[in-house]
Amino acid sequence: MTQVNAPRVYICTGCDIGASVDVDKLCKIPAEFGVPQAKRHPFLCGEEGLQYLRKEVAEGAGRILIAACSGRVYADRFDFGKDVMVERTALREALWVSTPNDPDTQLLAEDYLKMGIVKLQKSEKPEPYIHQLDDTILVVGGGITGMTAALAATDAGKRVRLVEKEAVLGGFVRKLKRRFPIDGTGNPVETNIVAMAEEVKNHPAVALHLSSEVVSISGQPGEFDVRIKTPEGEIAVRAGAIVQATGFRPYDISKLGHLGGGTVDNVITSARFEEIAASGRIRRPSDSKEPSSVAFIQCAGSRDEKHLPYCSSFCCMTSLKQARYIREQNPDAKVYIFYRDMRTPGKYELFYKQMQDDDGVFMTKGDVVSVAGVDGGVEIVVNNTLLGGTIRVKADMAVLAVGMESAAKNGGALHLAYRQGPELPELNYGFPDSHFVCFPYETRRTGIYAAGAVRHPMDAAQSETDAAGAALKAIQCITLAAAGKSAHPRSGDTSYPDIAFERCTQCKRCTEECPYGMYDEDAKGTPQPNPLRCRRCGTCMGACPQRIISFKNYSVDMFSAMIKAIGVPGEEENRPRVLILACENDSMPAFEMAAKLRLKLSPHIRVIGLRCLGSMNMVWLNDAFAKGLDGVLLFGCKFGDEYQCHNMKGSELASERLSKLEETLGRMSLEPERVRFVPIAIDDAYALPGIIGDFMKVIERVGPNPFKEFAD
Amino acid sequence: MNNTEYLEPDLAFVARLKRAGGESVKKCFQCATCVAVCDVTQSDRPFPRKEMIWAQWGLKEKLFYNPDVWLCHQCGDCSTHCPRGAKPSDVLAAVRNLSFIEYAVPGFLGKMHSSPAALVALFALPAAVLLLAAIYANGLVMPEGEIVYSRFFPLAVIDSIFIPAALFALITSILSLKKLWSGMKRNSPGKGDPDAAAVFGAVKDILLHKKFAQCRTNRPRYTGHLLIFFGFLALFATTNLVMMYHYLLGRETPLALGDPVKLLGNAGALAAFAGVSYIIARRLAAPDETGKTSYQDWTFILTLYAAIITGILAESARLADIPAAAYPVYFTHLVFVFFLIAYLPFSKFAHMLYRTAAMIYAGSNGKNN
Ligand code: SF4
Ligand code: SF4
Ligand code: SF4
Ligand code: SF4
Repeated sequence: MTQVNAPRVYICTGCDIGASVDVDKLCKIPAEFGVPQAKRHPFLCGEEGLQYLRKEVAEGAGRILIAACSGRVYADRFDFGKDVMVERTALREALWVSTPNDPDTQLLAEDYLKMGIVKLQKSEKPEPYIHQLDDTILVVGGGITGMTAALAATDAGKRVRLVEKEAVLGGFVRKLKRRFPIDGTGNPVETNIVAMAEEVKNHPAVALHLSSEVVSISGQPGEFDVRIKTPEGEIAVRAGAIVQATGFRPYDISKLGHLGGGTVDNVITSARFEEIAASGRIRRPSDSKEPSSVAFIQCAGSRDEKHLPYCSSFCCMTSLKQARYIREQNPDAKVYIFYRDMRTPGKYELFYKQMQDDDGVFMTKGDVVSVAGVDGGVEIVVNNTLLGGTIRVKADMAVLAVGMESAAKNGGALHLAYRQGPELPELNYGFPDSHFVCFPYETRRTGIYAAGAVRHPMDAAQSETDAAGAALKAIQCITLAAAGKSAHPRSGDTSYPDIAFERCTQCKRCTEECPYGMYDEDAKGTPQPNPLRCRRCGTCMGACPQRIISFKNYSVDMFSAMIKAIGVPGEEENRPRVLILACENDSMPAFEMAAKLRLKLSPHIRVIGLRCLGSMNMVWLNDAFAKGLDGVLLFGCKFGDEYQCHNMKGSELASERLSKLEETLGRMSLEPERVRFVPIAIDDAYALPGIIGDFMKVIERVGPNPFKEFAD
Repeated sequence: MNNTEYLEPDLAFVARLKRAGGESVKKCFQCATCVAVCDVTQSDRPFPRKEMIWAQWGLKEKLFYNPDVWLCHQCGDCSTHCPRGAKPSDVLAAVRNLSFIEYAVPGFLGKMHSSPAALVALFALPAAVLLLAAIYANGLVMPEGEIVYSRFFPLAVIDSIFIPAALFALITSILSLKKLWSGMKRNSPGKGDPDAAAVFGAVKDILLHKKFAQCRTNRPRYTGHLLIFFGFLALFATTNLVMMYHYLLGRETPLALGDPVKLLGNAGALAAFAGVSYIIARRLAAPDETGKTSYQDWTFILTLYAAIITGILAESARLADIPAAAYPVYFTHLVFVFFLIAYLPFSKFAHMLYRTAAMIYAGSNGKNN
């Protein structure tokens, strides 16, 4: 370590820090690590303090530890340019949750300072991965979503390649007679799809492939290698990012036999009805008679565990719109709508009101139990109606308002040559969606964004917004990738994992566990990194049993050293030590909120923030217990169906790893209660004192870690 | 619902109902807020939510022969609270307006009462009958001397006109009520026979105006209706007492001002006058609270008002001794009274029959009202 790169430590005494601990004693700590004595300042984040730090930098300080407030505040103030490494130790927050000027508080402050110094010592400046990248956006699917995404991307100055499997652009919307009212007047409007298709077709920045399909996609953002089957033969092209806009399929009517689906001629889907309406007079299939009564069955197969367990959100409006078609064609016609709930959010409610007001539209909530062919028409039996009990109604035909299935269900659109599978991972029900709060517009394949009804059920108007969002995400991803930076959630991070391949045992843990499918594999199972797919969560680092995956500024060794830097008082002192490994995204903010609220936490805990709990390597637990710590708490996001993990799988994978822990603990003759995973949400500040207090009681009960005596 | 029967909505009826004052009916989206505020609701009868959807579907049989529709005393609370701007109280009033036509025996009289075009004809009948009677009785010459109405229309003449009119009203009332009763029996599977307790309960409720007292939105109507109700009761009693005076005691009209029967009659007239005035003023000033006032409402209220006013004026003119005013006013008074009595089951006056019947029906079927 050269002199220039030697860490320098600055302790702020503002924000009650100076009044809560013996700062002079703290200033001497760095010496234990061969680092010059710490300097103190009354107000580091103020202009004077910053001037002081800038002067220090100018005089050669290249690695700085600022022991003051959390790294989540004032990141901009403590940024001294790309050549200066800054590490922050959240002394202030640690002291706010502790009793001032207590011996335990002093020990706590010392430990945090030690961990900060070690962390900085083990950190290297990341070198961004910079390649010459392609910035074309590949749009798969030429319906309203795909075309909107294409036009949005070209508007932003990008080139677009659009692949559509049909011979014409327009997708589902092209088959509509009219669209839902989106103008607030409550009247369905003509679609503008033909004009839009023309615009896309003639756009100089759009390369269009009709009657074409993607055969395979490999590579990474900025370097996707795409093979496309076109009528002229197969072509190979490059793309920077991809928007998947392959739309939906109406639910298969033949699965709805109890509603006459697939068996009764005059029972059709709303999609089919729309086609009939768009092509002229509405006539029923069996005998081309113009119907004088039509029954709409809402939620046909939707919100039903046996079929589609969700609401497709567009079918209520579709039926109302189609009821209007019938009433326009024949003012004496009767339209029945049997619904479970009418769902017409926002301004759509105005149209619902309008259709309610139509004398010829008869609606009731109820459970449609059967639709059968009778006398050339249909007979519908509805239970539990609002009219009272069961009713039986006759109509000329019935329309099943079926829901949407993602076109991505069962795959077939992207053909990714990825280790983790050929399509985007789905969130649920076959939709490649992402967590709405933590991960808006995202997918688990970096640089590939699903938009429109393929992503989750949505109507044309929502799809347009979604498409624009996806186009922007695609552009953002390419832009970040070109600078070697990560996309969401660690946007801007330039570190990426390095593998020491010599020691890789081809266990495939990293290739399987990476939530983003970053690694491919060669035939032997050796991981093949695609760094631009990486989101820097560190999950692979946590997974690797050989501990050979590391980032320049984030490594297994770094955290082992930090854990080992924690001071462990002898058994007789009755000062237990509990390590908390906490996710930076939710658990650390919860700690900071607790600090702001001045809640009191046990002085015996030592908290280390992780990029994601998924990056927790089991060796750290070994290290902690070998060192004589008495317990370990793992704080991560909730997982499962309602997961809140920023990296989808991180906390889940970490808790899975724990299942192998008993063995480790058993070997050390330690009680399994000493380790506990606790799901923590960002708003759990008030729960922390209780959670930690409970655990301290457990530790008291199981007693001190017997390894204390052997630890140095 | 019969399991083999198809439900057939009736578009024409929906349109008719809208014209009769229920134009908001289709706005209802069945949230049942009205059920929560309505006193008529029972746990097994989500009223008036269910009536609203029946009305939307045009299921007239279910509406016409449904005691609940008559138990509604149009307090207006439902309309005040409806989040959708549907006005169940107006819709139910419209159903009741159409019910007068539906139950009427003979039917044409019901129709005539809902049609402004027929109003002249309806008034022409009593006017002509009374004119003929006046010609017959006194050659249309106003008697000289002290004003004594029985000299203009001897009691026997009056009775020979009004007793048949009352009998006609009685018989048609019974026929119309029978239609309602059997309809209710058809539609709700209760036993349907009136029981004494229910009759007693209904009478008690009516006398106490119990339901009106519970209204929130249209609370002031309690007072108005109470005045009219008891005013009319007093007038009805007066009429009967006068007949008793004549036939049993041989005492003739006009009675002295201090006579208890006279006092009762005058008090009744003033109470009724005050009540109707108040109700008219409310309907004009606060239509949001009273609900819509339909043609049938206006005809009934104004006829009532006219009968009371002409009655008071006739008495005043008599006391003031102005024969030129007294006799024509008295004549007019009799026309209005005839209208009210003879057409009772066809005008809105009939609400007292149907409402009472519905209360008894509901009470007899184990449903408190
Ligand atoms: S939009 Fe309406 S019909 Fe479609 S699933 Fe949702 S509630 Fe059912
Ligand atoms: S697990 Fe996380 S850090 Fe590792 S390769 Fe995947 S995205 Fe990158
Ligand atoms: S009338 Fe109004 S309050 Fe009553 S159910 Fe209908 S919408 Fe609701
Ligand atoms: S007006 Fe009053 S009594 Fe009639 S339905 Fe409405 S709330 Fe009930």
